[in-house]
Amino acid sequence: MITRRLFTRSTLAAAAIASCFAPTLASAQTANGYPDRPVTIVVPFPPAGPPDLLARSIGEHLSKKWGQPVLVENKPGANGVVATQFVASAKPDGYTILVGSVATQAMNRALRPDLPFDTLKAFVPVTQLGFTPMLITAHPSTGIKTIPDLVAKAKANPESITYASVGQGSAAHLAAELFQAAADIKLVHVPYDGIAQASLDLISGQVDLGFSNVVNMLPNVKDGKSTALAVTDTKRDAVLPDVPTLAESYPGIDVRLWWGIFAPAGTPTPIVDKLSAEINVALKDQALIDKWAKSATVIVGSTPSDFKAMVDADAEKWGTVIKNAKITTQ
Amino acid sequence: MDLFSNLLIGFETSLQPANLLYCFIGVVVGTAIGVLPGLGPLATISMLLPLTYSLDPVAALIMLSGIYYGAQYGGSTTAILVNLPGEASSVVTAIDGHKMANAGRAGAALAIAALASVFAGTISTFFVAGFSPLLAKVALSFGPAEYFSLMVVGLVAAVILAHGSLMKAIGMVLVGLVIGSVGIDNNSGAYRFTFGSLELSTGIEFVSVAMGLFAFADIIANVGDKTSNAPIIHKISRLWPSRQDFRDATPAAARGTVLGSILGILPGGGAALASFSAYTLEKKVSRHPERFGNGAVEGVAGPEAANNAAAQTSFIPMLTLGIPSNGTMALMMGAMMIHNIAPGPQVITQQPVLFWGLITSMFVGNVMLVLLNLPLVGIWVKLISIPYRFLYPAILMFCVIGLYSIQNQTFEIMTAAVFGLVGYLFMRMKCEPAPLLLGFILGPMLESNLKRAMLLAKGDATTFFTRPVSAIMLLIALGLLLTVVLPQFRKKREEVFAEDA
Repeated sequence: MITRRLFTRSTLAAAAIASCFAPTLASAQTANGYPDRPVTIVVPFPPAGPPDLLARSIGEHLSKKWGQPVLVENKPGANGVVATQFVASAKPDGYTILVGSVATQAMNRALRPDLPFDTLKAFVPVTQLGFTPMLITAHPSTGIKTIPDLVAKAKANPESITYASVGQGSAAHLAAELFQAAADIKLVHVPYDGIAQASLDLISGQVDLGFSNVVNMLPNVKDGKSTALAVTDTKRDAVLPDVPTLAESYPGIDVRLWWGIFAPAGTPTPIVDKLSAEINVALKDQALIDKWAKSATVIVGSTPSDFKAMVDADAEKWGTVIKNAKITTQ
Repeated sequence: MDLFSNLLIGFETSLQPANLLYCFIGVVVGTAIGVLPGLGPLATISMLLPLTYSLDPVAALIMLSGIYYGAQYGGSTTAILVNLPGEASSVVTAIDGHKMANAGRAGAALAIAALASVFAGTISTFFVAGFSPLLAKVALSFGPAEYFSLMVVGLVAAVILAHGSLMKAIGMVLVGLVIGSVGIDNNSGAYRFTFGSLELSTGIEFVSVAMGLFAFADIIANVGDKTSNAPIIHKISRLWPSRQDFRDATPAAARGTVLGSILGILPGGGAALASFSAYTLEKKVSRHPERFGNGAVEGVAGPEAANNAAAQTSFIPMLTLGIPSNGTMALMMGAMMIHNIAPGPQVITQQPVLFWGLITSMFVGNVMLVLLNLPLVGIWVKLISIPYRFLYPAILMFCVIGLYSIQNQTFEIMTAAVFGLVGYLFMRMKCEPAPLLLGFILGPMLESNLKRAMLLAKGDATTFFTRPVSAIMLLIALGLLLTVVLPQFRKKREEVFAEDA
């Protein structure tokens, strides 16, 4: 690890030197010769989660293809804000890029008034990497088996049904708010500090409903300890083909927890395009797609412009949810 | 004999030469990172994770878990030798362990720590093997109300932890609670004591606080002490524990094992309480509580046994319910998923070789650990005879590397430096840092479980008394509180009477 850190240090030093001697590098508007030194992918999450593993997979592909080391650096501080700030203020030359998520790129900007920049303006989207839907589950003792069951019960007794999320302003909380607005119901939000205690209470039935990543509740759903009500996607998931989508009850309502690559604003377009094209090649690997499908993660790439459209639309959608539900951190 | 045949399957796997090798690599790496301050198993496992992609899943898990419990083992070494607890679990080991080292009994302390650990590791392996499904049910019977009450017990125990003034101990717990509340509140989203700092928005890192209060403060005090221009010489009276040490340590290790095994099952906070509770228990059952804080061997054996037992039983929620008890377990789950094994209730039935192989490897690993560590005791002890002016820069350097590695940023180093100064002041005021740390760890959990329990009970506060497990916890807390407060009252009254007379 020490070598890795030294590596990073020398990368930074190299960047500084390069910026002194080659001030025209970034303005040359060509991707010729890129990359001629190591590229760092900054991951705003701890290791071993999907964004980290995806970053490592594409890093491996890029370094094989380009003959330059691609380093993955985890900076999980301040719910990803430390990492996003780090990349936003890095030199826009394609050598420091970010794995952003729906939370860091589309939710935080409306949630956190202390963000030192607007994520939509500070970054150029490069490509999507993939997404996973959420799973709405109920404890068997509640007797709730479907979304219509849930809505009927919630309408009969407002604020009687509790749901678990992994914290105020988490994607799970926002997804639940989106659903409540669409179904016109009121649930009681019970925020947890992490997925461990939340899943424990979901299995033991302390809390009625859960909004969680599919993969977290999957084993317990298969074991009958938890009833899956819906996946929050527009189409059913291969790992749970019998579970309906939320959109089947409420068309147009979907929640995708996506990840994608972002470069600092001002990165030359040819470099963004080159990165995007090569990462998209890596994402076409069938073995990679199949491996992730088993944990309900859909691998999907996109062009910079398609990805930008998606990020902007999601930022708008979540901004509205946050505003309407008056979720703020202050 | 179901258990017997299961264990047989397990040993067939864990005793294969390749798996033995991975187990060995795991425990060696674990011991090393345990000894190196600040480098925790979380950081190490996350770095080694990509290396395990190409391994057989059983071998990968055996190695990663070896790192995990090996680190619990190695963590006590620096706590004893240089008063440097790298992890929450070794904070209490530092209290009496370091006192023993100062009294020239570092070898005895290290040996007792190692033996208590291996004892606990062995017993709890069989505990996990025999009762996993049953123990998973215990974990499920703990809801937010029970966790809240457990945390209350923990806070009362924090006061008992101190051996000085009761008022100062309570004060330190309260300071710990305040420091623990720094950051964005997960329940309301409110920013607390962040002063506009982004880094503070997710709270203060435990390792920064522990290193600052213990290691940095200790260094400031030692360097500042004029008399220590001559190196502090730790006279080594004897390397190995005496017969009396064993007599004192054995029951303590046994109690620690039981307590640790039970607390380890509870995800989200149980394991953190293990060593603290064991220390409190030892101090309570001891006929000579005044020895605690002055180098009591039980104060090393009990907590060390408890934290190792807890480290092993914390696998139970992951293996039987698919719930990670802590960050390291979450990484191990990640490792399982990479190999297409979904952690959860079906692991025992669908992957018996993996499940039993992993469990028996813990036993194998523990034997390796003791064989590895006992001969090292002599070398470690020599380490502290290095003149302090050479030793402390090295300690500081390792601390700083470790602190940086937590988040790959310098903020944690600065925080530790601030806590170093604060810790030095505390030391001069004779305020002990251990209760503060416990308040710091338990405070946030206490608060969020209180809020959750109230939300789930729809605002009915009697939930804490009507739920039986919670009620029992609160009774224990009350009992503990009385044993602390009553003698103080009595003393006060005696003083008053003395004045009257």
